[in-house]
Amino acid sequence: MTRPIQIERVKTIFIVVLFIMTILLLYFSWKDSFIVSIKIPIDFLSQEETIPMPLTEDLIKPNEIMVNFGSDAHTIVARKDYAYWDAFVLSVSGFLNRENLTITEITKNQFDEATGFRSIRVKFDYNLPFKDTLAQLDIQLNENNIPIEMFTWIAYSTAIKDSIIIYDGKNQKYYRLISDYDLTALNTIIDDIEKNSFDPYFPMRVFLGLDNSTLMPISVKTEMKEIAYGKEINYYETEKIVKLAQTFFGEGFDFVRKITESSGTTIYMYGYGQEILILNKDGAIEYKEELGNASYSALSFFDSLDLAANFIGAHGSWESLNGTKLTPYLKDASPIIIDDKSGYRFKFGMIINNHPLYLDGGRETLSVDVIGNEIANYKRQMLDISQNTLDSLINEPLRQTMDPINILTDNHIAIKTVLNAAGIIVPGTTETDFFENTSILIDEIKMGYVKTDEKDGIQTGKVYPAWIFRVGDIYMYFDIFTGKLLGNPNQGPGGV
Amino acid sequence: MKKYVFTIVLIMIMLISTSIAFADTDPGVVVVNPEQYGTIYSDSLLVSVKILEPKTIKVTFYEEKQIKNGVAVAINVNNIKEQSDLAELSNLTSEPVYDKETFVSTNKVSFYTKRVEGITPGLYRLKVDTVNASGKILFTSNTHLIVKDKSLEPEAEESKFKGPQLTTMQILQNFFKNIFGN
Repeated sequence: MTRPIQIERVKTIFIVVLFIMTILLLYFSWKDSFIVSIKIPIDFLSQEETIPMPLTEDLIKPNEIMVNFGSDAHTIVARKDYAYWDAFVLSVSGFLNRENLTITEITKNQFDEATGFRSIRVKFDYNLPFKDTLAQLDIQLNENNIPIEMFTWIAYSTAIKDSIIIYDGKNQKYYRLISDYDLTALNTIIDDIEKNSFDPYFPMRVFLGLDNSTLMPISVKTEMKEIAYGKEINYYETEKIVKLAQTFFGEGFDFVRKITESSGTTIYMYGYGQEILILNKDGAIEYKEELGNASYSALSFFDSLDLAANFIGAHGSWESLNGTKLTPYLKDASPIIIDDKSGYRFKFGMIINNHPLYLDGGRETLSVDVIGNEIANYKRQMLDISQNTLDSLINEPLRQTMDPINILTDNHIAIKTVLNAAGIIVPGTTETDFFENTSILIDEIKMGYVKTDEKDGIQTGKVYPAWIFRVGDIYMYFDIFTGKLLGNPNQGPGGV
Repeated sequence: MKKYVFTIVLIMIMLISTSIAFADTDPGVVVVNPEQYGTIYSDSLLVSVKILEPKTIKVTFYEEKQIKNGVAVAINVNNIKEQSDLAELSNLTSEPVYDKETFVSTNKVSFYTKRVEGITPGLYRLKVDTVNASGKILFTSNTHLIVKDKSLEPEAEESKFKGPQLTTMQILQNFFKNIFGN
């Protein structure tokens, strides 16, 4: 072999090595942006269409609006009548807009005493940042020196007609805000609700003679009935599964492995597990993502909420894939910390026929963990309910529900057992002791639908109307007509 | 000896007869609401009776009226300042607000509850009878209730709801706490 040929070979090898190194260098330098480029959400919508999203003010609705008519007679405003909340906000807006606002800190006893008169109490199940929420509700605040950090309850009482009371659940402080704004419109709201037919509630102490102010209904009628549902996604619907997975990993599935388990569960894994999508046989979907090394900056509550809402919209949508559109609402929001980075866990529920839907056994309809501008976890278990089924409820005759007081007397031993299993020991020696010591712990009683996989040991594919009893973060469901315990109790508002 | 037996029998008779004479209220049946001689400012009421053993009760809710010129009229309770004023009322008659209801309890703890609507100002009486299997009344309790118009409900004392007004320093402290934490 002549020397020039050898030189040419060396040159060729050198050029090949250089070429490979260039490719590798390009890969390592552009790796992140390359992944982003192949992960453009494709979704089920065309690129031209915008993603349908609920408005933030529609998601942030009170979990309960309690009205006291005086002499212990109360009601809890039904969701179909939430126009009263809009009217309440309008008055609060005018009130807070005054320049002569003064603030005093009051005690829980003063709050309880004030709301013992004719009053309205609006309750959220989570703490909202006070000033940001006012901004979301288009409420202008003229006074800058307001020390309220969060608000959980907002109330008006005829006992102090010049005031609005706010409870900051995070700091456990009660504030009385006073201004010269005329709040007569709030009296009118109470009068108006009282004139119309309402479901009567009384504090449990009036029923039982015990020190418990939780409101308990009596003689409630409902049009609710069992509703059949389907799974949003079935394990054998390969095309649907692939389409959903593409919204997370891109159309090409580059660097993505797919594992199908014999149980019917399908797992998609990107890289070495940086991103995992699990589609369970029961229709539940879970997506987990390792937090990136990119610089982290904490987002505000509402920016985090927007990010979560957008993520849901782009990954499965806010609607069930097949069934009719249900109304979403923010059920719970709590601060979380993952890898020393703070963020929020948002849990969204769905309203069926004006009643909230609960999944038993600690499952969630929609749950998103937002850390900075990243999504760390996303859980989804939407139900397919046909429009015809919902339409049929409109003409459903009203039926008498079982009174919760009777559910309590019939089931107090079962409730005690659930509480004991959760580490809450109910003291007592006689059945009367156990009944009283269990009853005094009840924090909330409300009406809703519950999805259970089984009823009386049979798989039903239905959601059931239920009275929901809450003790702390334990939820127990009882058939609304028979009072029988349904499904598995939850720990946490819909999840452990 | 005969003397002792006679004394014991006499004491027993006295004890038994006393218990029959005074045990007109069933200890196993407790009227939780309304409270005896309580006052409400409302046109509705929750009746709640706790029953501590399996038994049968009959519940009647009356309005106590006064007969004036041969006509039964509602008692003007606005002038009644204390319980003793009720004792001075004469010519009373009881008109049932709703029909007598029978409630059979089968549990060790159960409640008879009823919401009574559309009640007008006046004096009311809740009568609860405990009956045996043949319907014989064993015990009776009467609970009186005064119902007044809503507009007469005493106003709250403004001074009860006063709290310390937050000073600029406290507001600043809260502000920095919010930023830097505790």
